[in-house]
Amino acid sequence: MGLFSLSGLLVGISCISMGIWVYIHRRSNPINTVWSLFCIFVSIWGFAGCAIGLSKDAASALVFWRVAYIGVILIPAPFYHFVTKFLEIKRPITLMTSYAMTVFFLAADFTPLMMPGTKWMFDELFYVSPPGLIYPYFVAFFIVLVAASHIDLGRYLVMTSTGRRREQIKWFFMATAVGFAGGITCFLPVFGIEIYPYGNLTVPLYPLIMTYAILRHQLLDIDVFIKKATIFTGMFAFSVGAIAIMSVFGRPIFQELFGWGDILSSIPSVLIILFAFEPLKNLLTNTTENFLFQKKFDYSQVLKLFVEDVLTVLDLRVIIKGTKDLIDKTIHPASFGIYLLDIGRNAYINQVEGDEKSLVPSAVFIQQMKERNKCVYIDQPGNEERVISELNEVEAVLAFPLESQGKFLGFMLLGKKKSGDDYTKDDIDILTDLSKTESIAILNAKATVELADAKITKHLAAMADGMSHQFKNRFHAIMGLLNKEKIFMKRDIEMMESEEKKYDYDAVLKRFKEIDTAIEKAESNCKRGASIANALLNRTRPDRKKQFDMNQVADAFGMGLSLIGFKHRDFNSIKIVEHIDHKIPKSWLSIGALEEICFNALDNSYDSIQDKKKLDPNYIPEIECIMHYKSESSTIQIVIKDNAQGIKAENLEKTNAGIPGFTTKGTSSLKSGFGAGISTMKELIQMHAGTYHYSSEWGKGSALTINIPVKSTPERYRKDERKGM
Amino acid sequence: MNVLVLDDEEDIVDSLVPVLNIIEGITAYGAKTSGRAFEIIAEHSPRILLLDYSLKEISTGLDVYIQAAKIVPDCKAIIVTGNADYELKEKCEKVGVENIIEKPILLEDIMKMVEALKNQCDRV
Repeated sequence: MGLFSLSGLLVGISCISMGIWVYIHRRSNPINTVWSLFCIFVSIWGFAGCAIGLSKDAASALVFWRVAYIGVILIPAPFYHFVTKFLEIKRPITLMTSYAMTVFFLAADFTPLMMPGTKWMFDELFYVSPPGLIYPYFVAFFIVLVAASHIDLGRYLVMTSTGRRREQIKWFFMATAVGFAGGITCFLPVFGIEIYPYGNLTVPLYPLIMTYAILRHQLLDIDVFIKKATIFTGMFAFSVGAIAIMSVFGRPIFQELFGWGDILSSIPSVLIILFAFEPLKNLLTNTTENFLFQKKFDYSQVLKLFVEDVLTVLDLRVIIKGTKDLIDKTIHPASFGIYLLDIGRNAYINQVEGDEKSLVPSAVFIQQMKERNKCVYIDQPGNEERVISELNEVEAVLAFPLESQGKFLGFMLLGKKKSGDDYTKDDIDILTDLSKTESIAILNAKATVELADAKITKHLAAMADGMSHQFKNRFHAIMGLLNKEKIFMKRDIEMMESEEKKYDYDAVLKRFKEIDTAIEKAESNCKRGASIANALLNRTRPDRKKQFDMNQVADAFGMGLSLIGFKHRDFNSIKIVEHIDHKIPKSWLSIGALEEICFNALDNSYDSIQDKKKLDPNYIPEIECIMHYKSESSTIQIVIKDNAQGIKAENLEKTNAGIPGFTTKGTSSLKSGFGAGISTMKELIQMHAGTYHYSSEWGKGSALTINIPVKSTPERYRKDERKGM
Repeated sequence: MNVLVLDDEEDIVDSLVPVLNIIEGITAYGAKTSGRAFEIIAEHSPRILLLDYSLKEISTGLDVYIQAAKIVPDCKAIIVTGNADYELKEKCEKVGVENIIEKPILLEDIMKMVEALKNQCDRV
């Protein structure tokens, strides 16, 4: 077998393998079908070329040349067709003309007009020569179409500055340029230019380059069976290649040295295949696993772990941070953002800390994502200029919608990869899955926040209702006091001005005293009004619970008690028994936090009391508060106990653990609570390095015992002091 | 004619009672709890009741009126409230409350209302 036959065989095998592979996977895609046909036509040239090299006489060689040229004639038009489809160019007339000319040249193929005969050349094969009458026109047709296709590819390569699309065009251009540049050398001997067509050896390179581009840059729409196909193609090419090489180079050596016949000379090639088969298979398996599938495997694992975790998180900040960390670790983009709609600002705001970019909802790419619910990427064919500029503005190349339950929540933006690599189809698939999970997690977190907000709003509404009543009472009292004096004053003036009445010193003195008392009372009502306003203001300041100062713990109970009266107007009907030691030493504590603790404890007692009232109409509610200092342990003990319904035994443990989301109310009350009370209380007590414990007997009541260590210095300073020592 | 003033705010009772006593033919009595109010009702059978709706106890001013009407069937009530909403208005109308007034209000206006009710009762 000569070099021409060998190169033909390699062209045939490589091209038919690729053609079949592409056709099998995604035959529904027309672009793949066109490419498969093109490969099959090239393989006809390859196999027939092999047969030409093996032909023993001119007549049979000519037959094989004509068969080979069926393939060659069919190459340029489908190639041009493929390029126009690949680049999404519409040139129907040129295409139809090129196919018509293909039919014409095919008809001429088996006539002397194309190839009149062959000539022994290069001491190896019968080469077609001289050219027939229309042969030069065919060559011109071939070169023009191939050149036009490459010009189009080059033009698009220049126009597409970045991204996966550019990589695809680049590799495709490279593969076909190498293949055609080599293949064209086969025309030269036909015209009497006797240069050996070594270029034909480069033709098998193009399927190899294309395979790489398909796998690495998703050149064609193929994403399955890549591994098996690569291994099969590699093994097949190796087996045939080994036999061919041994036939060309080994057999003459064995025949000359040992005088072996054809069958015996083939034994070494069979042995090579036999021994190399398994190691080669392993090598190819490992290579495809490690090189081509490594990322996909890692991503899947990472994503799986993330999906398992993220759906259990209800804190939006944690979700955003977790996602950013995950993306940074795996994808390494230059920029990353999760944009969520801020209705108040009518803008999508980046939630990633330290990057407060915002985008208007009218942005075109946002609208596109909303309509299609698909990712938008910067080098997407047919992208509007505005989409590209909008994405460039936020340094993004990819945008994924965050949509769940038909609600468009926002989107995820990714910049270029720091490595300079392009986003692969795997990346996009994985990120699409991630964005879907992310959407559910965000929706859950938002629902939780809304629920908490609704609870706070309801709570504040109840407080505001109570406070409004208090304010009106104050104003009503002030108005009454002043109005009364005005009425009496008027009467007195009238009497004093009348002729009958004379100046009565005692009466005037009495009036002045009454006026003085009324003014004092009015002042007192004004003060009470102001303290109510302050209580509301303090309660709405979230930082207040974290402000530590030297305080008297007993004050907290009084404040909690007055606040609970605003929430439940009938709270005053409950008998409150106070055993408060007002000589408890001042301690470094947050009065706001302790007031909240007392408020929560009283609120829980109130709810429990309501339950018991429903069961026992003669029940007289009572809440007892004990506050005292335990000198032996230097702690302040607060006990708030009631004679209400209490907590069921099975729920006491959870109550004492302060499990977030757990509520005592669902168990003891007809009302349902959100469960934030006890966990919040636990957090506030722990802030004071204190402990708490609930004890209860179902139907008889419950008692909350809190122990807080007395501190003269805040914890953070105490730590500093220790360090200093 | 006896008038009962019920309000859990001491200042309001202390202002309103002497002012109402100015009106000719009116004797006003003040109470800060529903318990004291019922004692006055039992003792003096007031025909006009000036009742605060929200009291610092389970009973409301309206509850007091409903009970009082059983003892003094021809008594007339004015409910004083900080939040005269539609729901309360409906409740009051259902049990025959004469009027609802919203805090804060001038005592002179309350006097006029009480005077008008007194005249109404006198005519009957």
